[in-house]
Amino acid sequence: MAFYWVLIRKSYLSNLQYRAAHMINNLGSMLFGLMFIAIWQGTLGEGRQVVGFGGQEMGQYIAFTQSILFQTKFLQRGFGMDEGIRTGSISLQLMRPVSFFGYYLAFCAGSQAYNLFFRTVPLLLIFALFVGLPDFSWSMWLPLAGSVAMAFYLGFLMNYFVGVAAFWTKDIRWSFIVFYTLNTTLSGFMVPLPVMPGVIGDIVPYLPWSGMNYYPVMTYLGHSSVRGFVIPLIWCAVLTVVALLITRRARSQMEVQGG
Amino acid sequence: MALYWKLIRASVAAQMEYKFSFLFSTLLMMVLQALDFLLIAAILLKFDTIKGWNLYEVGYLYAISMMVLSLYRTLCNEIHAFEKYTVQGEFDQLLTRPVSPLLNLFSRSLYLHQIGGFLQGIVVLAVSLWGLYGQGVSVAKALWFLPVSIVSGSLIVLALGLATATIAFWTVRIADFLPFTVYAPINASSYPMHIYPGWLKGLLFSVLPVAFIAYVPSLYLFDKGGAWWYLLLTPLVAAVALGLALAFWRFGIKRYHSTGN
Repeated sequence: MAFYWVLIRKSYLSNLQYRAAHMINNLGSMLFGLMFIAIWQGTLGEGRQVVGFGGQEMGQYIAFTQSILFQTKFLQRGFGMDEGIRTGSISLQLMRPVSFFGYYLAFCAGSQAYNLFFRTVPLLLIFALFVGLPDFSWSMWLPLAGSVAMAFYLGFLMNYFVGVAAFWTKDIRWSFIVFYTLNTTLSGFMVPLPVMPGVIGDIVPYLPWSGMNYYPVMTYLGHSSVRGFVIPLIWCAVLTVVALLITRRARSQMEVQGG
Repeated sequence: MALYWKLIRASVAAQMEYKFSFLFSTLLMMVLQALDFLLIAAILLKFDTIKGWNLYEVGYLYAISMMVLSLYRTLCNEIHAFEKYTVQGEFDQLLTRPVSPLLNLFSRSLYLHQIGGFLQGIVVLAVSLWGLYGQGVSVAKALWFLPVSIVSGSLIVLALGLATATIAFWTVRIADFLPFTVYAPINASSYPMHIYPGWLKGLLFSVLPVAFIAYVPSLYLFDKGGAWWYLLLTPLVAAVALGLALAFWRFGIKRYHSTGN
């Protein structure tokens, strides 16, 4: 266990080295967020509502999803596993007396913790200047923390799948783009899931991506639900089993390019 | 110029070596970017308009933005990814060549994998213009103006990309600047400018002049309160922006210090 804590800390500290660059990057995230907020506020105007939210609340909705981007969507592509396979260093990784899955989970957790302090919080505060913060009661902290933790874990799992794909495909650029787009489209990142047209709107709340943005942001806005907790929880469990099975297959599959 | 075309031909031949991979990736890129537009379409199908602009009008802005961004990424990829030259010290090699570093960069810049966005833009543009035509809007002016829109818009994006690349002469890395200087502005140009708050609008009409790519001319093209001379602003702003970016580039090169390798 101590090993994983060291790894989480190292990952946090290595991100910390680039905090100045990340602050510049935050400006871009801010611009994107304000643009999405303007789209919703321009669409809703004074009187209209979407899933019970007016322009102000939809602004807070976008502020939240835009602020947790770096924990769910903008993780290092496949945690660099493809590079490890190309150079052969992945074989050392597999020989270590620690879990391959656990190693990347700890690596990801350190990066997500860093992003929480240096991206999520600053961005939420900047957006708050434009759209304010939602009414919040202490009783909501626990459901929100649980919902956000599951969102971060699902973000890790999705990126882990992109990474282990390198054991079979070598080039993981396309699997990354596919996962990235599915996240953007199906997670409720910009559009609340019930707004999606037709049958898509009926299905997407039950898919794993819904736990990465839609349910956490609904909890943030004071609309937590049992369903919003259970669905992501089930997906976290199912996808963990899938990830561990794939990891086992990957071990036997491994074929490095160099060494 | 002859040298440029020769290098471009070699680059095309190299990228077409794996034809299936190329076709697959281009097609995939098109489908994925179409999903991006579906999100906006989902909002507009439910609410009809964004501050008075309907799905087809926003679709026109979106299509032009997609097309010019895709052209820029296809034809100027090395400008966009310029930091590899400063990070790895490769820019020193370009300085020792008998042609200008910029021309050299352009000749290496063809990246056909990005053409999917352009093709997808054509589809969205066709659907949007057809939809507007169906609503009784005259689209002839927009069709005539299309080549000017595409060329001028691409030059505006190039100006932003080149100015961002120049920053690398001081900061070495530019990847963290790109969301602010290129990605977000181009995305912002996909929507009518009047939805944005005043300061953001000011930014998109001046320092990051993406408002002139599609929004300003469309005010005249679709009779939304613009005058005929709005059409002149697009190429004019493109020329000024590119001139300023080139001057900035020349200024930056003089202050370039190699990172060595």
